[in-house]
Amino acid sequence: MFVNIREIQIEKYDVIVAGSGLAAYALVKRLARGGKSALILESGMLEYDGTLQEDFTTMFGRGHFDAQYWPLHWGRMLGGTSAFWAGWCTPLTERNFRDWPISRKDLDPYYLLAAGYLRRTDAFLTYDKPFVPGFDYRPLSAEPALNLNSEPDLLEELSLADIALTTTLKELHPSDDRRSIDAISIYTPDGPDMLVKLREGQTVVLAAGGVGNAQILLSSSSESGQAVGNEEDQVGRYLMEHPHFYNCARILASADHILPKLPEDFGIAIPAVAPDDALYDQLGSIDLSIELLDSDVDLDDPVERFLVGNFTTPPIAYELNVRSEMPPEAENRLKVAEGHDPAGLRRLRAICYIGTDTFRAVDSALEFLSDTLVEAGPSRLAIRNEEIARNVTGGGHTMGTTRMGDSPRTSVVDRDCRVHGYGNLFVAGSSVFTSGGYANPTLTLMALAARLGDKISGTS
Amino acid sequence: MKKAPLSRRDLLLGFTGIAVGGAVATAVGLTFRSQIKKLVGLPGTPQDRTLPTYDDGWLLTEQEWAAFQDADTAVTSDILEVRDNVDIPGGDYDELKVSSVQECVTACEQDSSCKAFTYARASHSDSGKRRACWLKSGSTGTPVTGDSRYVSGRRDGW
Repeated sequence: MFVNIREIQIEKYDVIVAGSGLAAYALVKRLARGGKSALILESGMLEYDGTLQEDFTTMFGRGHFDAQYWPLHWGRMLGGTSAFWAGWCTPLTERNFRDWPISRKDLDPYYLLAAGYLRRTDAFLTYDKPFVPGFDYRPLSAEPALNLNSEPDLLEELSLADIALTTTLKELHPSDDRRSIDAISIYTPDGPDMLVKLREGQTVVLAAGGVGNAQILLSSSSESGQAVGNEEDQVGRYLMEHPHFYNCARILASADHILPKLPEDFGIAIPAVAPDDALYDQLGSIDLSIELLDSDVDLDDPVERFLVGNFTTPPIAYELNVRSEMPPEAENRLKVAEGHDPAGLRRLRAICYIGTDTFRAVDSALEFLSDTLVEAGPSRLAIRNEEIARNVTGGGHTMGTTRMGDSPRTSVVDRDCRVHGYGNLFVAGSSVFTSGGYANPTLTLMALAARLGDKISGTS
Repeated sequence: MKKAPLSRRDLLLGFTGIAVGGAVATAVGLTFRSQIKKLVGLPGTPQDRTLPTYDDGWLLTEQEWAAFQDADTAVTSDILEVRDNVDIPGGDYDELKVSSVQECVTACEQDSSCKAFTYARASHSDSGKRRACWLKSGSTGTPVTGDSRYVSGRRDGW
């Protein structure tokens, strides 16, 4: 239920969660199962408010994704960024965990849970069919999104969780030995800041989004020079997106290349193919997904009209969208910049460039697919260089700013999503991704948050 | 022993020898150069180079490109005299984007003020010019032959 932070006893809650998105949702679901109560702090209101959104999320930045880009996927309202989510889901595959301290097997039971929370069957979690040599058919699940912003009941029905709106976790105060968080500062627009001393056994989880989690850590540095969790200068680093290349290629195909029929319980699907393991290795271990959208044969294109003559039966046409992995790079990062948001959190600057390796992998994959089609018969592929080289955009997938790893020198959280060294501080959300694969991150961040819920309540 | 002075006949023979030798050397050189060009693919003038234009757009086999380019030439007209691999510079009064050379021919046929046309093939090295059709008035420049990027035609003969 909804509470006013100034009228409640904060020490009665086992876990304080910053952020009310789908990471928080999966987390508190599992916490409740383990008998743990939670207080969710959300900066935003029940409804979207443009002024509030702008006041809190304005930032600086340069690169392929600039200052205007990130705030679009950093929602300040009940449900957080899930309010803008389209509902597309697919899990990371085994190979995507190459650099992670955990494997796909560790997440498998939680992927099942997350799929259930999202009201989907598990059919899409394991579906995988060969398409052409080098590529497997791996469609994305596109059932309607679970949107906490339009369904506040989903959070209210959680018996052991309360939600405080227009309430912002603005600072974490570490103990002198930096082994735990002693106290937190909370901002609301209607009164002075509150300094809340944490009781023994009380835990803090940051679930404030890919930018927000790093922001809270980087803003928690009043007592000493180093921000909390940033003892090794790792917070904000390894910022990642999923480069999207819309309409970057086109296929004119024979009936041999009609996509396989999906099982009924797969639900709504976005048709897409992904490189098999051998091709993935050849592409420099950069994963990608090629979406194949039905299109009409374009007789105004003289080459296409010429090609139609090569088919014995009328060909089909696909327009291709590619979404790819962006390998983690320490220099792609969020940094503290000039100014503060209304709660006093530091404004951030994002520096994020897509590397040559990513562009090359996309181009090579399309060329490989073309070669495969040429070998197989009359099907042909067209590459639109301009769309790959110049018109790249993102997917609204902010990842990697509080990276998971075994070494504090190259990561911020450990394999249990605990901030290195701090006993009672955890992170939930795509900010912990060690690498991003090509998969839309929501399903994985929910699985990780559900797993964290079990870790905190001691039930895993 | 004193040499006899060169006669007029000796001089003429000498000059002829030099001239014939030079001509033979030039011929051998040219033949060698063209052979070398064939062997190692020395670049010629821009006009006689066939650039690989199939890297942006449809990835076709070489045979398909050849067939496609042939189809880009096959054209007939009762009114216009069409010549392959010719560019007529200047005299443009209209520029159209067409989907085939036939479409360009038809456009010129139907306009009595069109005295000539030049069509840029779909394989043109400059993607901005591909399938452009220039309709021309009477006052054009001298046709440039041997340029495989273009097809041109004239209403009143060449």
